[in-house]
Amino acid sequence: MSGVQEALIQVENLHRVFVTDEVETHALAGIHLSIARGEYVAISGPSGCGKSTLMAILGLLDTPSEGDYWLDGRPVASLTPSERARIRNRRVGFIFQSFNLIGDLTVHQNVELPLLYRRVPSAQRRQWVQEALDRVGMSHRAKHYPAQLSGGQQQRVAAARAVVGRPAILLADEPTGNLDSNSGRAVMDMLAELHREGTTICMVTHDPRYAGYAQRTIHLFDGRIVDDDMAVQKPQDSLGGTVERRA
Amino acid sequence: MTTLWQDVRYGFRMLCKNPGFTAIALVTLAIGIGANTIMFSLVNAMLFRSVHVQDPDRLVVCKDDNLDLGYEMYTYMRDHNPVFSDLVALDRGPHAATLVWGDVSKRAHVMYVSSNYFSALGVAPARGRYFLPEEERLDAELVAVLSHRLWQCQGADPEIVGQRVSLNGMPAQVVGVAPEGFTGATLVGPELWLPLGSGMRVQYQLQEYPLPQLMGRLRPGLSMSGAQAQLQSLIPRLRENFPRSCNNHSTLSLNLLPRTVHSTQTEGDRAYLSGASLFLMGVSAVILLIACTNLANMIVIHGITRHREIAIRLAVGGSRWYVVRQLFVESLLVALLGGGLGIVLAIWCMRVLNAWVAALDPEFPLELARVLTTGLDLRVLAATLGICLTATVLFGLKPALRLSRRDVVADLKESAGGGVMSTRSTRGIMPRGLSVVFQTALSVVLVMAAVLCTRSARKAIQTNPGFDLQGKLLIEIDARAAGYDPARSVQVCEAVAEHLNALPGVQMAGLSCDGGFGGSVVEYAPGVESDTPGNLLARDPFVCPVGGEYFESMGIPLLQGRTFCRLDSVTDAEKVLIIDEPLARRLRPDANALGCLIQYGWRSLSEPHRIVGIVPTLHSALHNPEKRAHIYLPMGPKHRPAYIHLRLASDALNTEATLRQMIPAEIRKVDPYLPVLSVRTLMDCQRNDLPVWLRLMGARLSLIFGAMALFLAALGIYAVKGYMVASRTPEIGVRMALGATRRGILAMVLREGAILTLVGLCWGLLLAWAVARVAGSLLYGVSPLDPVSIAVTIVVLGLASLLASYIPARRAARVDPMAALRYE
Repeated sequence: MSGVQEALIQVENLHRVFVTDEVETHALAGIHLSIARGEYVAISGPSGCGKSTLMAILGLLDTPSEGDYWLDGRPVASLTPSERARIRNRRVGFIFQSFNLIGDLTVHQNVELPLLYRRVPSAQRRQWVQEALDRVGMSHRAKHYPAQLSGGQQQRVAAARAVVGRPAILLADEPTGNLDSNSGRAVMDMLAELHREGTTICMVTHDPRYAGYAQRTIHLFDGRIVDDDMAVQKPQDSLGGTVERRA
Repeated sequence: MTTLWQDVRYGFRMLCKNPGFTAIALVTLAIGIGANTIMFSLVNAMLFRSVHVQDPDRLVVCKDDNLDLGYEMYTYMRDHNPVFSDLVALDRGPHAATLVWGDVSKRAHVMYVSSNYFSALGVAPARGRYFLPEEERLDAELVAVLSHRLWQCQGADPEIVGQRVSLNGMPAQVVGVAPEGFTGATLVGPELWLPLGSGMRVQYQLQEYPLPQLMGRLRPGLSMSGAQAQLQSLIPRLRENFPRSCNNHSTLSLNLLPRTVHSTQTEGDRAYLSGASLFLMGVSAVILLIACTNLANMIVIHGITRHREIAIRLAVGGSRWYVVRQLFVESLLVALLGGGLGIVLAIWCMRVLNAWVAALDPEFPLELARVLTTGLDLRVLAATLGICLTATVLFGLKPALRLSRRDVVADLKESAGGGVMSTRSTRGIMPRGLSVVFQTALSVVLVMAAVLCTRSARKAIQTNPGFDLQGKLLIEIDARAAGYDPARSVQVCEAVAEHLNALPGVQMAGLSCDGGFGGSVVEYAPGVESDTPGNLLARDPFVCPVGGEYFESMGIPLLQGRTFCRLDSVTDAEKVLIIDEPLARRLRPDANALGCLIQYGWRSLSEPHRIVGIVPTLHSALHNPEKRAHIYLPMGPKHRPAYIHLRLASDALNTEATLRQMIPAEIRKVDPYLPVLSVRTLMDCQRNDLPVWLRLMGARLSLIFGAMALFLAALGIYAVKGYMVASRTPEIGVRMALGATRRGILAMVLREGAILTLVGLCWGLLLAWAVARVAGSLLYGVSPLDPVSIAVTIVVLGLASLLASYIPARRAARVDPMAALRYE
């Protein structure tokens, strides 16, 4: 189990079956996956291949029907809902396709939310929020409400919220899905910057241009990993860099 | 038509598909309609029901001032006035009299009227005839007209006319039966009518006419002002014909017939009844307001949740008119179904209410139950239904028009992800939140009113009268109706009391007479004569002759001195009396009043009486709020006992009911002719006391309406919180994704609900305080700021809103974050 100990995320034979009206849908059908600390992984595949389901299981939002999952060397199957919530809060950061900012809260309050659940003292909270907003270049918009921001800005705020608690891994589910190409590129640059600073990132995308930002791309099809490419060289820019891959 | 039918069918399907919305909307409507129909029907019956007489608007009361109006003056006015087509004289009744009818003895209410009374009111007898003019004479044989109700209660004998009954021991022939529902000019009538000339004879054994009050029917075409003017022209002729009774200051005035429950009803009674009725109408109006607010919320919320469906309908070519019509039909269905349910609820509640009233009927004073026994008022029902139907349809129309104007593209895109969640829904949350505050505040008023009324009624029942009411029986007898003179009455009653005293379980038997007010009370100092002796009391004392064992049988402790002994009643013995503590304090604030001599009386004072005993003051919950002093005299040969008091042994309390049943038979063993009018426990006497009963009834109604308001408010909170939670599902999912625990989500929703409740409570308490201050006169022994009532209200409202918030909060805590995020 030494490999399991070293990997940040380790899943073995993961299955997820949805049952609706006596119809079984196998969203995941035997996934084996290991993500190392500091790695930047892209999960891609066609619509309905199980990308988001895998992401939800990795983020402890969903539980597998079968299989094992170790997060930072610890099995998660036996965790209580409270423990799962605690791990989500401390170890995992989420970025959603539709940003999922809370409209009634300001940018500052949105970013502060995970720290509130962690009961971080007020002064420290302010400092961490400031740092997170600085990292994504949104500190000048701290008092604004989400509706007053552009889509790209909202996703930056979502990213700040995801990283403010200094999670072990950042899970991004189609972070550019609702953005135009310029905003999408800016968000991808931001994620690349976060990765350079040491954040482990696992990103779902079906756009090969953005998948190219990752060190490694996992292709899913019908709930199975059909390809796992490890990039030997990171792209220099978002679209034009040379990318070499090894099988 | 086909399309409309389709809309109706689709509307039904939508209602079935949303059972929660449908159930809450229907229950809300039913409670709103039912509660208002009952309450307004009740108030209508008490205040606005017309009496069963011909053309009551032409009936007037003729009041005299500075006029010594006697029977002869009445007959002169009847025969020589230009104002009235009929002028009626009636005694200031009804009076209580002992009616013996075969084996039945009971206390009956009698009214003495002139012979033209029934013809003036324009009613024909159900049986027999009414009075003849000659039967109005002082020396005429006694004749009686029975109320339809009394006739029915006594078996509805078709051969009733010509039968004889006994009233206060005097035989009277039944000459007729009044028509069903006829109660005279008041809402509650007597059980018997007798000619005016027999009034003083039956009641007081006096051969004279009572002082009448006049009621007349205006001549056709004569206006009230015209009648008033013409009436004054009568005064000079009265002065001329009755110089001793009529002077220069004498006046006559006319008033429309007041809508009173009975003719002896005082201004205070009227004020209480009007106040209580207004209060109850206010309560039902608040219920209606809460119901409408609830309904508005429900329908608006329901409409908002359907915006996507409406967008699809518009996108596939549905016209705006089609959408509006569809939603309108659905609202109409809710209104009609709710209205139907409301009618059912109103009918059921009316039956329950009438059953309560009927349960009290046999011993209820003045048969007031007849007034309260009411049917469903169709006008009230129609008005309430109209309000609710209009409100429902209007509330339904508003979201229908709004939804049909929405941006179809935006609505269709919404599920694809808006990025910013809950902003849209929060626009609706603030008004919804305000409505929760509003409903909570109104509910606080009703719940607090219910608690205050309940505590007030409990206080009225539980007021300590100065002795223990438990284990005491009161037997009402009438020796005069058996034909005994006072001296013989005392002998018979003492024999009966002695016999009852020997019964197993009876500890002590005592006697007392009907008391009366005693006028002034002065101290008598031998040798010090004063023309203007100072009155010791601000209010007349109550003077009651009692037997020697009275105090012991009632359990009234003797504070000082002694009780009466047999020698105290001897003619030549020194006059003695027993007084209560307040009078003793007035007499000798710092010393012992025992042995002092006092006199009492109205125009002339009595002989000096020596005080031989002092007892505590007696409190009567509502009749004696000013704590009128009591003077007890030893019962002598001139007095006539009216009550036997039995004190039961503590081990005989379980056999109280058995004793009550056997007592009439035991009394008949001593004297088969002595009418036993009632055998009641003192607790029952207290409970059936009219003011206490009215307060109990008010408390019951307030409790029911308070519970309804609470239920509606809880439904409102539940609906609004449920909507808030549903519209915030994606937000809750995000919060959970960010690490919020289920307990944290539960606490968040509960906290938000608690804030709304708290604000509503604060406003409600202020409102309740203001209402309680205005309606404070209806309360007995409870302050409008009663801390217990406030605390109970806060706890009840708090718990109800907590429960109403808990269910949506638990639903929020169970949100699957994955599903919630997919939802967005």
